[in-house]
Amino acid sequence: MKSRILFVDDEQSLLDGLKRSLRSQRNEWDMHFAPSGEEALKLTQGDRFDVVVSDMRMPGMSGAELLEQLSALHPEMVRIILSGHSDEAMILKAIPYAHQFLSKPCDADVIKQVINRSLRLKSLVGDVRLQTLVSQIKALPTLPSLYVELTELLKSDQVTVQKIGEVISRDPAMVTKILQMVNSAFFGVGRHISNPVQAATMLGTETLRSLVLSAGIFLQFDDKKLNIGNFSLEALHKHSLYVSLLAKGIAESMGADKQTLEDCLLAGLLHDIGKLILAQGMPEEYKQFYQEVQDCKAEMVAIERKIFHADHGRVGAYLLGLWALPESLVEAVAYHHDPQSAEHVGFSPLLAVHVADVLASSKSTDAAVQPAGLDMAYLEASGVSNRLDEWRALHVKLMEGVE
Amino acid sequence: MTTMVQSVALHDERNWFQLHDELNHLPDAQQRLVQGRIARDMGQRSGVAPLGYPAVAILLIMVSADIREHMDWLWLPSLGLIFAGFGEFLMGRRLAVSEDAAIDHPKRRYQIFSLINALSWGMYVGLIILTHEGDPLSMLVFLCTVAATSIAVGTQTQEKSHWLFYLALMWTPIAASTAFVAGIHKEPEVLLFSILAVSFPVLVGTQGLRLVAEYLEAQLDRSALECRTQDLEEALIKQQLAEKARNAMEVQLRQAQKLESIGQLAAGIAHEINTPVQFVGDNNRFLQEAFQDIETLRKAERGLFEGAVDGRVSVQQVRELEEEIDLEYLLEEIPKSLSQSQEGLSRIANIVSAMKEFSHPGGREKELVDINRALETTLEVSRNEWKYVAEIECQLEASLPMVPGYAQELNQVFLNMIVNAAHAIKERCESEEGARGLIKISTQTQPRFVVVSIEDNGTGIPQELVSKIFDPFFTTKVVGKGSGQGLAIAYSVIVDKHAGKIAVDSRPCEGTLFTLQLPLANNSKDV
Repeated sequence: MKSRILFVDDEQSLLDGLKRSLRSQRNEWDMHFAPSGEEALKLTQGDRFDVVVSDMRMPGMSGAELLEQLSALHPEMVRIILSGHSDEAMILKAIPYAHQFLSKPCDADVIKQVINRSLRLKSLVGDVRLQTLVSQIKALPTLPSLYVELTELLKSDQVTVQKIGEVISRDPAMVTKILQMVNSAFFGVGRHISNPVQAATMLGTETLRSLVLSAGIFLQFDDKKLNIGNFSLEALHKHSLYVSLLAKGIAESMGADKQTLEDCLLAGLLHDIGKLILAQGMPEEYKQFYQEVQDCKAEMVAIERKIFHADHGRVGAYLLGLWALPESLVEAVAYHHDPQSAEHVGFSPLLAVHVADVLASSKSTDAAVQPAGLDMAYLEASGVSNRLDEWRALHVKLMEGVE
Repeated sequence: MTTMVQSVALHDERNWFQLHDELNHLPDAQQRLVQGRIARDMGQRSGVAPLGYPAVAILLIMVSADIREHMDWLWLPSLGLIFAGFGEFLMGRRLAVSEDAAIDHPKRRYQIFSLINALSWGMYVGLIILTHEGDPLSMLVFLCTVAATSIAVGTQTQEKSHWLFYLALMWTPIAASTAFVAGIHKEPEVLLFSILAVSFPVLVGTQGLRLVAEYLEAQLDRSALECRTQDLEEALIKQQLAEKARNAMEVQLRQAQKLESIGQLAAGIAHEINTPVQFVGDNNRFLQEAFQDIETLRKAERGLFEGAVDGRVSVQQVRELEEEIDLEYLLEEIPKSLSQSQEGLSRIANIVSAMKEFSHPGGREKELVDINRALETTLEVSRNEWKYVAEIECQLEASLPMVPGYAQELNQVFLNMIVNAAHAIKERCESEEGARGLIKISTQTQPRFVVVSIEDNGTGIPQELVSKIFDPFFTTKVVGKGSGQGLAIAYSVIVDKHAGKIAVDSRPCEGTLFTLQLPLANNSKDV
């Protein structure tokens, strides 16, 4: 079945141009073009669409308003803004509803790539309910202490963007959101960036201030809502930070380049972001899941797949992909429990995170962090199984440092 | 001009107390200044006079055996006189050279020494009279002397009030005469001493007082005059500075407003340019691909020609290929995409040249400005500001004469008006569903003027605010949205720089009409 893509722009010439330049996709995509937000809404009433690409500023209904309505009516739809505007106030309005932001002029190849990537993501999480859940996420729960620290920092006059970046880089939820801002072209950046401090620097203190304090891109963790057994955000944070550190250590031992080191650090930090999504969005199921893990001691991922129809890795990866985070990260997060699902072997952030996660969780007793097994076949195939002892030693050494 | 410091009004019929009152009414800083001067002069004027007290005391001890006889009674006041006399002298010197800020300390010491002096004198006189007579009259004289001396000292140090002054004036002559009567029956040296003892404070108390009053008057006159001069100078300087600052600020604000509007425009222009760039690029890509497809087809057709000879290739294959690449679509779309691209490119070119024209700096001198063209250019660069909210209806008189003026500043004025109109309409559209904006712009010639009217059907201006709209910093927009300079600048440009007129007619909920009159003759007052 062809994927259905909807383009919305008030400029007919622009729609015609898109129609012509994307003509080579005509066998894969079923493309529709609407000259206004109102028309677009009408079109979506009849049929479902997979992706909508909308202009921001249009007479009548604006792009932000259109996406807002679509996110309520057809939440599973991937929502992309294609705009030539750089007006910050307008961008802030669209931020909660747009998954990605492309700035005009945008090469047809980039548009193709972005749409194709979004479509491919859907294969990660087949369940429409989960797709809907992830697609509607505007913000993820952040650790209250870090959130308070960050807002205090932002409210003070004398603060360096470096310092802000450092606080952000300690919280997976904040990191995810801020990387969405810079990796998608929300503020005119739009390239592979996996360093949160660098991301903060690119946005600048003023933009961060309006993003955090007025647009509220970070959500404070609500203890009551996430009251599931002894699931604790603190433990998850600690684990994520540790995996991040260990994954980077492993990459260092492999002599990886700077970009890979940063990707490992980040993939480690974000690898369990799917748990946050599941626990936040489906607390009832998460309780059930937790119960079953306690009872039968079956493999956690299997229970997740049974209850949620997807494991937390893929759910997290779906969000990261939707938010246009770098591909290597999405892959590392998606398959960190079953690296053989990835299409390639060899050392990668995925491998580093897989090993680090398994080593770090091997002795965990916390509900948020469940022990998992190493995929020896994959390590074998990647030709790194001989390094395992070295990494175990690294883990022991790092643990001593942490404790 | 508003004077910063209150000046002292002087008139002839004014005694020391009026002066004193007036002094009290002066602002603190000025009071301090005058008091400082008076105190300093007091110190200077007191000179070696305080040394007279110990001198007289020593002299009396030396000449009068009688006094030496009663030294067991008199040692305290004698010592007091000697000590306080020197002290007062020294403090007087200090006071004479003190700064205003540091005058309190020596002044207080000076007063204390004066007081000790006065008390010692009183004691001295009283004791002498007492040891000789001991009668009540002498006691009275003693009291009077003390009072008079104290008051005399008080006046010297200008720390006194009305009734005490009159007390001094009344009591000192009484004290003097009483002392004289009391002493006339006694030994000659006691008489001499009595006269000396009483007349000294009287002299100081009355004569000194007069001197003080005169001096004060003179001082106040002078200081008032000085203050006035100073005021004037200061005020003048301040005015000049304020004028300069205001001018600088005005320039800055105008610059800031211009930057603000250019910044705002830049974002809009970027969008206006980005849109055609996007579709021209898209069309280009399409043409590339289309060309490839056509090339493939051409090759196949070529093959068909060749194959037709020996019958290897069938027409069917070419037909299939034609279908696959959708030749019909291509043939239809290629000319369309070319013409749309052409249109897109000319849109870009228009905006760029309008921007260039709009921001052309222009000279310091007035030049002839084509108002119609200026309006068109301004509309072009501000398109992104109004196109989402309003239609534009232009009625520009084709034969409009050129107007002498500053092109760029007029552009700025037109821009401010158009943007304001768009904002007013936008505001109305937000509150009223389905309202569609209209901005009417027209130019026409009148005998001595060119009239430009810019009318919108936006929110309008409430009656009570109409009078304020040309004030600098007046804005109804939220903080950070407008500097409140737009119309103030329009006023300054049209009225001050072009000697034109600007009128506003606005009705809430109906819209606003701005009418600008620009004189055809160059008779403006240049600022």
